[in-house]
Amino acid sequence: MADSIKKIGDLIVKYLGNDQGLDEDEQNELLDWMNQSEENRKAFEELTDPVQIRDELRKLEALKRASWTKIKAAMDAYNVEHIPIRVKTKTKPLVWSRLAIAATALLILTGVLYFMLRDKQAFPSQQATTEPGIVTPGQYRAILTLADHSTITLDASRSGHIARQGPVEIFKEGDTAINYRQSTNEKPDTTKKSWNTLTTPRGGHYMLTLPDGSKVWLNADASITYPVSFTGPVRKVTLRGEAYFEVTDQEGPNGSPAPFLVETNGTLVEVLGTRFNIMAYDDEPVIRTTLLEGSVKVSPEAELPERRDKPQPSFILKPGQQAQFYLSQSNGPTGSRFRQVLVQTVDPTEVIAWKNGSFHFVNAEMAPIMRQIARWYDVQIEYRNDIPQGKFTVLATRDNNLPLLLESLKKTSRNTIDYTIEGRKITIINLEK
Amino acid sequence: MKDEKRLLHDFSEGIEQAVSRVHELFYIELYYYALNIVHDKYEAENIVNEAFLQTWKQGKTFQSLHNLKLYLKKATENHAFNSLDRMKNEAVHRSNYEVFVETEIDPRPQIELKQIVLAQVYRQIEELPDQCRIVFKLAFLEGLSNEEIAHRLDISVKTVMNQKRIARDKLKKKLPPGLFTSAMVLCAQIAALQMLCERRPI
Repeated sequence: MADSIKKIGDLIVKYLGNDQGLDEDEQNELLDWMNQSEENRKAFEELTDPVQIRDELRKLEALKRASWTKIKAAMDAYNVEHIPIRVKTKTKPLVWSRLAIAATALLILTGVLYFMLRDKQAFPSQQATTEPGIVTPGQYRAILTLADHSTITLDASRSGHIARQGPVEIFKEGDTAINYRQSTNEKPDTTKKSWNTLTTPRGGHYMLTLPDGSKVWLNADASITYPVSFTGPVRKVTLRGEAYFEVTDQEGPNGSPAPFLVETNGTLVEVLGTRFNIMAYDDEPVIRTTLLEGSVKVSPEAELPERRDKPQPSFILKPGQQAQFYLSQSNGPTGSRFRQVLVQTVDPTEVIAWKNGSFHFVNAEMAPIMRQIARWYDVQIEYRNDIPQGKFTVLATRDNNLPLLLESLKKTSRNTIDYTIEGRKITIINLEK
Repeated sequence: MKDEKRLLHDFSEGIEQAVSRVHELFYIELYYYALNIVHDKYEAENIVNEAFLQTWKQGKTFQSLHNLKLYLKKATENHAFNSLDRMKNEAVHRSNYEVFVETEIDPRPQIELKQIVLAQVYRQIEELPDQCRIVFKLAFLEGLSNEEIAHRLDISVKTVMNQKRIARDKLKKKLPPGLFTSAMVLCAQIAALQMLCERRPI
């Protein structure tokens, strides 16, 4: 049967080619086949009608293109993960003095405790004010902590001038951003620095313009601490969580460019004028610094006084590259805070998707996706039957309600996962077990 | 056959252009092959993608395009049978599978016939040289005029016409010229209709 179909197919192709191409036997064979049934005759007509053929070929062309898009994405993802010689720079584990480890651990612990305690106080009623059972996406929400440790909740109730820090005025622009502006008639006090902190809760995000005009987008569950005016030879801020920076050029007091430094829990990023993203959450195993434009230098913990005299291993990133500092599970006898450091080429649109209001994961693992979702929707994630092992793709805007997002995740997983929502607890059920 | 050797070499090195070219040449045939095993369009698409990626990852150098195609077919077949096993084992998948069989896949022999014919025609078009193929597809599949093609590809109208002529000559040798003629006649008819409707000067 299959053979005879093949034969007829060849005959039709031959017929399409040239009316004289079929000899008498062939013509008879084709005619016999056509006379066997109405369906056969119809099939013949369809296959010899140029309009129909064109439509079919169009469909095939679209199918082929869709396939290539997927294959290309998978190839890129694979290259990033598996072809180290192209861009990866592996380093030996960093060697640390015991004193440095102790100091680092203490610093981090203090910092974590400080933020944990303060977050608890700053956002006590967030869960209570949200209707139970309805999980909504994050909003523009933040807390500003002034130099005297007083706090201002940034919500819709106030706008315009909200505070003054010495010669610097703080303005709130709409519901999405605050702005630092130098009063023109007063000289900044260079002798003492006052520091402010902007903190977003889980389910919040915010924008900030620093006194030098640099812009910072703060993702959910993050905070940034910065001086109200940059007067010294360097501009230094401290980040916990994730932020995207657009840093302006600025001259220091001696006329040379003032580097902009971002300290996270373990790394230091040094830049001049540039755009980059840093992700340094306490619950992420990797600190990721991604450069979009310009040039940055990333190094570990260079600011610890004990380490200043020793040269630090550092990495200069090119646009499109990401420095990944893998945190050690525990500070073992070798004492390194980082297991390894990699520099990889990544897709920047994926990295800063959050800033542009979307989730963008292509062939990503379940756990990192869910950690982002948890921070944005302010939910807790649990897994039944282990964490699903496959690769998942999520392309969605961040203003979707959570059930919609989970439904699409379930669909793209080809029903290998399911989920339940109980209040603020999301359970991902692995159906492949 | 220097081009073929070069293409196979570049494919084994994972050079994107070459991988894309191989995909263009064989995708439709592989898709139909998978579809006839699993009878599920969505599954068939995934199967071919997986088989293709697997072959790409192995980075083998093949002796000929024909060998590469056979290898890809074998990989597709393996993935397809694995997929069938999986579907049989999973109730969720089985119910999907039945729905697909009923609504989307027509098991009549006429369908197989259609696949045979279309795959051959498609392959012939894909085997045209680069610029020629792009011009032909824009004209035939998208129905663009010479001017529109010239504008889109940033080449002269004369080049477009030349490329169309080369496509015609090449296809005449390999492909059923009757079909090609009717395709070209169709293009001409569409162009004429467009001119009539829009009263566009030639």
